[in-house]
Amino acid sequence: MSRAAALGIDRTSDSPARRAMRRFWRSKMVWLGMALLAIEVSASLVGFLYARHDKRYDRQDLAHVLERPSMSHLFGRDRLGRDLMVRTLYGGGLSLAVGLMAALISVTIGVTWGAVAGYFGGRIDGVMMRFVDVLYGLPYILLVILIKVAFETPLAEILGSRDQPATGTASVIVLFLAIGAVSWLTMARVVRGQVLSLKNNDYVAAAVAAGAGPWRIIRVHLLPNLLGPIIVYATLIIPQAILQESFLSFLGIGVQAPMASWGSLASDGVAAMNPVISRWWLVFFPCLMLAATLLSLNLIGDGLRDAFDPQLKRRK
Amino acid sequence: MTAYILRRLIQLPLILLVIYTVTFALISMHGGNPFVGDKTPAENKKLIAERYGVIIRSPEELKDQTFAQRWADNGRMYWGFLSRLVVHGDLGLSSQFEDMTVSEIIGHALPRSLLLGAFALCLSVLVGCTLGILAGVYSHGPIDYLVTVYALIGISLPLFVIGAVLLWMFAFAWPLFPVGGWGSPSQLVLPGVALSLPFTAYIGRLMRAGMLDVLSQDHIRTARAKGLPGSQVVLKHAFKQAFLPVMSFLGPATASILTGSFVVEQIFDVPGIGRAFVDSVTSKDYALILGTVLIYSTLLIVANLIVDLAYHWLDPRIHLEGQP
Repeated sequence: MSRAAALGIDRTSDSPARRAMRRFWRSKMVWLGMALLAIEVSASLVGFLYARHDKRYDRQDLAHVLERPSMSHLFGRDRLGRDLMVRTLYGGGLSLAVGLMAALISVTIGVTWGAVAGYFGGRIDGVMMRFVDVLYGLPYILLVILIKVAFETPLAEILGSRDQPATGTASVIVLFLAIGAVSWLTMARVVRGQVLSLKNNDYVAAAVAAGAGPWRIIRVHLLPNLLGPIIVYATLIIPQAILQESFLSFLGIGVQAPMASWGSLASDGVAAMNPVISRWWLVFFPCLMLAATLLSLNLIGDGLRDAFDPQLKRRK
Repeated sequence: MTAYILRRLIQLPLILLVIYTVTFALISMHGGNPFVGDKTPAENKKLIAERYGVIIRSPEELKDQTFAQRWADNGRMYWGFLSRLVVHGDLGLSSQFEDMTVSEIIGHALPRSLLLGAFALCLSVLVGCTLGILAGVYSHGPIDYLVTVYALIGISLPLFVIGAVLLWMFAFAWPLFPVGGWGSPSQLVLPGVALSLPFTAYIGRLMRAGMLDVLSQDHIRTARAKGLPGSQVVLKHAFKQAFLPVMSFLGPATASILTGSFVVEQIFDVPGIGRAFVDSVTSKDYALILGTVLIYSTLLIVANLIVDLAYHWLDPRIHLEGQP
């Protein structure tokens, strides 16, 4: 930190963002996280595309159920003889997609909400932030579950037809909508706080004097200055969303069979455990992938937060 | 102070009413209930409908229903449920656990979940604080390093992974504890520990950061300079202040423990309220869903209130009226 500060003074021409990025890349943990994530993402992407083709993720072989890991099937096989590696990588693609989409949605809602509340202030701010406070104190996971269950069937009927609903696609879409709809609260608070302090700057007054509307000021003058914190919190939302997706799938409320995600695979694995034979590979591989992804995203997120906002280090 | 508590308590029923309404709207979104496909004669159907407070339409009727008709049905059902609750304090009958009232189910399941959650929370605060203090005091030593690594792993491992690993290690590979179930103290250990581990990691991290922050402040230096023994400086002077971030985490932590109990109860086969909720959602058990959501929300709101008050008590400089 002190070295970074010294560096910052040395090169006054640098922008704060560039300095932050340099701090970011200096951390070994960040490199570890980046490397892990790169492996995970590329493997999941390739695996997902491979598995989708001809529905390979659901290719059953009932003559070889529950086989241990071997050279031809590195992760072993599940109770329907499906290759667990194909399923794990396919599930990885799905889990990552849900995490990413949910984060995108929550960033959109959170940034808009926070920016509007912060910029207009007064009574609007009071009402909007009070709403956030109340939501903060509610068991949001119940809400996610209820939203998921409520909108799944209607959406499936809209996407497909009434007699042949597109259940699989609908369940994934509703999943990220539901998770995104509840995880924007922290983002809204952070953005509002930043906008409150930024809007008193002279350049905002100048923009107002020049006749810019509030929407333009928020978009053109305020948001670019907020990019740092927004990116930081967005990276921290992704692992949260992935975690929630896996959690729901573990409970059997997430993605629907024969589709798979890390959570549903782990759930199947736990169900297949018993004191006589522990089919460890059924649990181990999906959980390993999930844990490695979460770890890498957390490392990167923490690194970004420390780099962009050294004082925020200890705040959640 | 009293006025503040009173105001929060007056808000409680209002917030609960909103939650109740939203929950009802969400579960009745798709229309239909557990009795839709039933082949029972019309006479019995009427009795069932009365008993459970639902409106039964046949699948054909449901198909032809317009949007407005469906929501008219839902509105009538909502009014029935709500008036029963408000006038008689009756949460209704569960359709999934036959012949059990929701109050009975909650009465059985809630104490189990509360015991499990309280056990996990106490364990994680105790262990987390100890680890955090040690890591903060001996920073950059081996303990600090271990705590940091543990905190990262603990935050990155989903609860069901931790649960599965514990189950495999201490119930299958080395059968110290029973696989699951409920009733004896030994059955509380594994689910309790599993539930506490992520929070231990997080609290350890918060406590360490708080300690590092406090220990570098002037009043600690003064205390040391006066010749107070190190343990007294840490435990008496630094602890209270360093505990504040942990305190504010306890509100959200209560929520997460409730959530976590869903998973833990499933893995270790504990018949608690988390299981009841998940089962009720998958089987569209109107009364049970509404009942469990209400209980959860009440618990959480009260827990948050207690945390706010405790926060104020630890640090009187903090104002309770709204956030800064």
